[in-house]
Amino acid sequence: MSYFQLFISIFTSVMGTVGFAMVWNMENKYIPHAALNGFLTWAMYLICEAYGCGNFTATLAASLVGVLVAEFMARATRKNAAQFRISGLVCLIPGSGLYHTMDALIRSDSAMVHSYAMSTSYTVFGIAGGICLGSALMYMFKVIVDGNKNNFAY
Amino acid sequence: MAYDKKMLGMFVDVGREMLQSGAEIGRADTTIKLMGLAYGAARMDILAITDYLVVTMSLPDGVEYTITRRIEGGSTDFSRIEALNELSRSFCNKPFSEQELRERLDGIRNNHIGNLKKYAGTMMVGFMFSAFFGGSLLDAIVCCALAFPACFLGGNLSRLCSSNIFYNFLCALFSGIMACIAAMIIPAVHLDKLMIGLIMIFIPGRALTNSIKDIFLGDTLSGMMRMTEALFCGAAIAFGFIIPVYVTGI
Repeated sequence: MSYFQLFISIFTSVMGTVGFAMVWNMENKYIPHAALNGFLTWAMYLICEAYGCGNFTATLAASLVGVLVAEFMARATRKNAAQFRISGLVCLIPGSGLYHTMDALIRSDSAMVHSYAMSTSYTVFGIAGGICLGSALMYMFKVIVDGNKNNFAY
Repeated sequence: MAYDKKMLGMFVDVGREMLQSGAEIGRADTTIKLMGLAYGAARMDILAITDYLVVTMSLPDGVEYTITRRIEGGSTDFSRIEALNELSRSFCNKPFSEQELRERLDGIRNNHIGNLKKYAGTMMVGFMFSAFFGGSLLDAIVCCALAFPACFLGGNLSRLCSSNIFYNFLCALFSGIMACIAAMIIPAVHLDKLMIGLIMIFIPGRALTNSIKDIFLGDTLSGMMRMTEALFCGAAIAFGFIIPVYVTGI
């Protein structure tokens, strides 16, 4: 990947995150937070990819970063973590995989259907794994720091 | 202290409003519980799933009230969730009357997302994700232009559709038709990049991520319901986009 492609990839992922934050009516002053989370998430994915990680591992690591950053942003701003988390992870959603799977299905190309479906599934499972792992770590952190299991709420 | 049954209805309405705005089940559950306990309830028992809320408030004098609410429709609105959070926090700090709670809740309900922000955001999503998935500048510009009618359709089709899956299918179908027409008029455009950019507008990312979090936090039933719907919606979207490609043979 050239530097220009890298720039385009990061820029579009960050601005795409901003777009989603606007569609979902995030308060304007927190949109930069969402953009930062989108940047860190996608940067993590690219770093993992550069080190030769597979799609699942890269998505898992990126999603974990997105969840943790969102939780810490929520603590810092005393706002709902979900808005930072969802906006941050949106660049990992396999829109391309979904399209190509269905395209191959319509064209009856079973080898490509299998390939794209597996790749899309790995991405979805990577996102799910990252959210579960990140949530588990944050839960432990909150119990240790706050000393109260029910204080889960911003 | 005299307790008012209407208060329970208000707490449940706050929870319902949260779920309709895209909050996780656990958040709505916790909000109702904390508001009830702040009001003076001895115990709050809540069953919340994506479509239904059942809440029983047990008062210190032994009286119990149960209220149910059906949850229908709604769209993601983070500002509204935040406003509802603020409302519940201020109530928990210093409980106020049912009248005041109702007025403040109505104020939040009537505060809708601005169309300009929604359309601008949708067009930005179309532009950026078309380029993100490898599209050219021309693809991104055309995708951005198509995002506007796609957003308009999305806003108006929801009340005509019986289910979320059918709604997503129709949105995708119309967007797919528009993309195919654009590709026929402008041959330099890459149809797949256009479609992928438009798919990202409709893809149920919020439902998918919330469902995973719901399952992880123990709201397995709600999470599974939400995930199943999200997966069916995803398939419906992809199917809706592919039909015009199949028919036109582009």
